[in-house]
Amino acid sequence: MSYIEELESRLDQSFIAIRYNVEMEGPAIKPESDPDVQNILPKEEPYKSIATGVLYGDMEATLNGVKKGLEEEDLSPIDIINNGLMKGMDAVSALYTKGFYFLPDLMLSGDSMMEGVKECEKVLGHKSETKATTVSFVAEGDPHDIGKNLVVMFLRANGYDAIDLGRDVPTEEVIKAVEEYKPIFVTGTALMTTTMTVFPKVVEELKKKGLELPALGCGGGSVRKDFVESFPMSVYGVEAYHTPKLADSILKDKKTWKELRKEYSEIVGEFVPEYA
Amino acid sequence: MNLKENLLKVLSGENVDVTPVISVTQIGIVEAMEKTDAYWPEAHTDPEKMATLGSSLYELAGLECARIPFCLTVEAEAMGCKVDLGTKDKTPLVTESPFKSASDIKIPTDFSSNGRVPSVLEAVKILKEKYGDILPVIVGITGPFTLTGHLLGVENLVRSMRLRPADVELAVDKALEVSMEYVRALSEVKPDIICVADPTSATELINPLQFKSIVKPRLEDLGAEIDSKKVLHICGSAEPIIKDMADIGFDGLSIEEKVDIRRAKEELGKGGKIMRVGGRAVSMGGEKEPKLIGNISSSQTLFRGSPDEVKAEVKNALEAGVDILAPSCGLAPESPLKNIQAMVEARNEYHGI
Repeated sequence: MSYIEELESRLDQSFIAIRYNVEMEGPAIKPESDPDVQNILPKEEPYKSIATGVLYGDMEATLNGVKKGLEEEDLSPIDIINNGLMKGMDAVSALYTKGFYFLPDLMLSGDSMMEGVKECEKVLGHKSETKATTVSFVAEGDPHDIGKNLVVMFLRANGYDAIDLGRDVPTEEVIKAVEEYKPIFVTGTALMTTTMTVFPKVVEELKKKGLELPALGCGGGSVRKDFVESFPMSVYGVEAYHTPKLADSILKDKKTWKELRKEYSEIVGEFVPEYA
Repeated sequence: MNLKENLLKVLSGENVDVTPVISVTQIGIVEAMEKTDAYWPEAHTDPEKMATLGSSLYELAGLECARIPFCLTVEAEAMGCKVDLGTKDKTPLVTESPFKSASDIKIPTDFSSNGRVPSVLEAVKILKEKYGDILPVIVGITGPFTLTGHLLGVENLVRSMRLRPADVELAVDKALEVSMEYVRALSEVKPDIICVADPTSATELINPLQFKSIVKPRLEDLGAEIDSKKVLHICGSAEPIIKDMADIGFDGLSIEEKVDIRRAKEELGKGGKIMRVGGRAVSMGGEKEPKLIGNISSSQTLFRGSPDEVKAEVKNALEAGVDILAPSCGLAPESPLKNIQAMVEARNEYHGI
C-alpha cells in the first residue's frame, strides 16, 4: 500500500476542506469525458462537433457545425439531425439522469438542438417527414409549462408532429384537439396538486365521446404514479425525454396503455425507480 | 398545553413532551371555507375573512396554528404584476409582469401599502388580537428567488442561470430588497413565525451549486432581517441542498415527502450561526440545529388518502424523528377535513393523549 493510500484510509474524508472553486465548478471532468457520453457521441466529423455543441448548449457552435455539414460537405439534413443533433441530446439526457446536468442545461441544449433542426429543415425545403401526430397540453388552471415545453421539444426532435396546446388548457379544447388531429399519443402535465385532477376528467370526457387513445401520458411536479394509475387510459411519465420512446413503442409495436405501464423501464431503455 | 409556547420551544431547541402539529404552508380548504363562510377569492383580500380561514383548521380540526395568506403572489402583485385570484378551489396565479429584465425591476416606494400587503398585515393584527397568547400566528412570504421568477418568468430565469448569471444575481438582489421591505412591515404586527417559501430554488429547477452560490446568500441576508422565529420551505427533492439549507440559520426547515427524514436529520447537525460582516450575513456554522418540519404528503395522503393512511404516515414521520408535524406542501383545496383531523389524532395517539 502506498503512503497516500494508507493516509487516505486513516483520514475522515468528511472533514477534508474542498477548495472553493473546485466545489463550485466540480472536479475538472468534461461532460464529453463521461463514459456513457463517449458511447453516445459520434466519432466522425462534423457530427462530433455538432453533437458536442448540443452537449454544451452552445448554439453558435452547433449552428456552425450544421452549416458546415450542409454547405461544405453536402451531407443530408436528415443524417445531420439523426447522427449529430439527436446524439448530442441523447448525451444530455444521459448526464441529466446521472444528476450531472440540471434543468437549465437541458433547456439550453434543447434550444441549440431545435435551432439546428430548423436549419436542416430550411435545406429540406419543408418540415422533415413526421412519424405521427401527438398532442401536448398543460392542465387547466396550471400556468407551469416548462415540463410541457420539454416534452414537445423531445417529441419534435424525434420526428413527431407535436401539437402544442399551451398552458392552462380547458378540457374541452383537449377533446377537440383529439377529435381534430387523431393523435397517437397525448401528454398532459401539471405542477400543482390542485390541477392534476384534470387528467381523470379528460379520460372521462374522451370515453363519453367514444374516443379511445392508445395512451394519455401524465406527468409533472406533484403528479405521482399511483394517482395516474387510479384511472384508465393513462400512463405515468417520469422524465420528459422518455416521451418519444413511449410514442415510438405505441407507433411501432402498437403498445397499449396497459402494456406501457407494465413495460415502462424496458421501453425507455433504462432503470426507472418509480417503476421498479 | 399552550400551543404557542410549545411550538416556539421546539423552534428554540428546547425539549417538549408533545410534537406540535401545524402547517407552515397554505391551509385554505374548501370544506373549511364552507363551514366558516370565508371563501376564496374574497379571503385573499378581505382581512377578516383571511383571518377566519387562516385559523379555520385550528377551530375545525385542532391544527395548532393560524396561517396566512393562501398564496405566493402577494409580493408580486404589490410590485405591479397582474394576478388572477382564482376561484374557491383554484389558487391565485401571477399572469403578467411589467418587467422584462433585471434592470427593469423597480421597487415602488409605497410597496407596503400596495396590493394585498395591507390585508395581510391587518389579518395578522386580527389573529393576534383574537388568539394572542394561545395560538401561534404564521405568515408565509415568497422567497427572493421565487419572487424573481414571478417578476421575470420562471423559464426565462432558469435559462438565465447559465447564460447570464450576473443578471440573475442583480434581479435576485432586487427581489431580496422587496422581501426585506415586506419583512420589516410584518415585524410591526409581530407574527410569531415567518415562513419563507422558495419553491423555484428546488433542485428540479436549478443546479444545487447555484442554490449555494446565488440563492443561499440572499436567504441568509433575509433571515438576518427576520426578528421572529423563521422557517424555510423548499419543495421537491431537497436532499442535495439540505446541508446548505441547514446552515442558512433558520429555526426550522420544511420539507416534502421526497426527502427522507432520517437522512435529513443527519445533515442538520451541521447547521450554523450567522454573523454579520460589512452588512452581509456570514454563516459561522456549527452552533444551532434547525428543526425539521414536515412531511405528510399533501399531494397524495392528505389529498386523496383515507384517514387511516394519514395516521400511518404520521406515525412513520414521528418515528423517523420529525420535530414538527406538518403537511409536506400547501394543502390542495379539495383535501378533506377529516384527513387533517386524522393528522392531529394520530399525533395524539402516538403521545398517548
